[in-house]
Amino acid sequence: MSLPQDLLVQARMLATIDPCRPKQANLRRAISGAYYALFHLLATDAARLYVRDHSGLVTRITRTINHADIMSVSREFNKRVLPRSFQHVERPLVISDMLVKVTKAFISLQAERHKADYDMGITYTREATLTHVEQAETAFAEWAVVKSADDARLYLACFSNWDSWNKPPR
Amino acid sequence: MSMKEFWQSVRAAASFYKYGGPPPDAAPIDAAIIDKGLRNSTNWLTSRTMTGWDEANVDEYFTPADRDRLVQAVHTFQAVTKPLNPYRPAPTAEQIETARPALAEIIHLLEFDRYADADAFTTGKRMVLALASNPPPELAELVELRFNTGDDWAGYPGIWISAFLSVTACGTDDVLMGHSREIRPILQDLSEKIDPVRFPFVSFESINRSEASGALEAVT
Repeated sequence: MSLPQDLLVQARMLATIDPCRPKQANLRRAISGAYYALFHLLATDAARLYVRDHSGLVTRITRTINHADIMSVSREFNKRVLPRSFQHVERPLVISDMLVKVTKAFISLQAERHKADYDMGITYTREATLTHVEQAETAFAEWAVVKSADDARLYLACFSNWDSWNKPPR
Repeated sequence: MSMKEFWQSVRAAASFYKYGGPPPDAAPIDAAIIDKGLRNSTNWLTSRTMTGWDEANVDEYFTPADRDRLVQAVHTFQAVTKPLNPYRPAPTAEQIETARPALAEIIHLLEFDRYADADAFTTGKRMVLALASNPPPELAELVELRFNTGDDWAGYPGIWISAFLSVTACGTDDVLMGHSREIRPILQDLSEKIDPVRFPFVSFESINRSEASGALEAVT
């Protein structure tokens, strides 16, 4: 399996590993792992827009994509907003409902990961943790359906190009 | 005059109630806690407690029956406070006895244990009402919703929705995850429709959470 898939499987495993009272450390790592699974899935697919087979280059390109970039692009696509350069074309690109769901999952999981890693005032339950993992699992399934479509490919490309594509028209 | 301002005014008067943590950990507030809190002091017996009240703004937040109860309670309270100095009230024992149950009713209806702030109330209560008026079958195992608002770690406005499910719905991992898969998009879509500015963060808990965590007693 790929790293993103492994991280996702590990997240569910950590959420269910303690038979009785779950350890907070395991629950927190499960939430963090679920987020990172989705992050690496999207970042790797974004890199593969440019390079398909050269694994070394895919890794290098993936390293140039950061969490904040995906977050800000996800917020725009969640509101079905495209970069300005592509807003006033003859046949505007429609952002699908399923892609919007993936962006929602990314935004939610990144915020939850931040709480899980840094906010020690929260007590996580196994139920809440599992439903966050489920959110990532659903996003994986939805991404598999939409990832070849133009709106999804543009979403990936925007991770690296949003600023230049979003400049006011000259 | 807005429901938000009214909610904040009454919340300030009910300062005896401490949350004990943000939702989902907010302590329950019941009739005994409200009564005890209101008996400790009469600082709440002033017309300022009803600041922001506007009967015209009530309909979208309450069922007709609750609306009538709220309007009646506010009228009773205002009738008592009208002759009193808002800054230095000197109420009689009879006035206190008349106003206390009225304010208790208002506090009960504003549900401070479910809505952590005024924005959470104005969005969350409308969501609850919309779901109650046309309940989707997917929400059959949803027992309760709690809300709070704020900014997420990156500074964007968000609303945090804690969905409490029945014990049955949390019976096995797969059943629980199936319910969350169905319910989450319904809550997210409704929240975005009612309050498009705030991103909805939805989390799920078993209704047993309060008993299990064991530390949720109200501080009065």
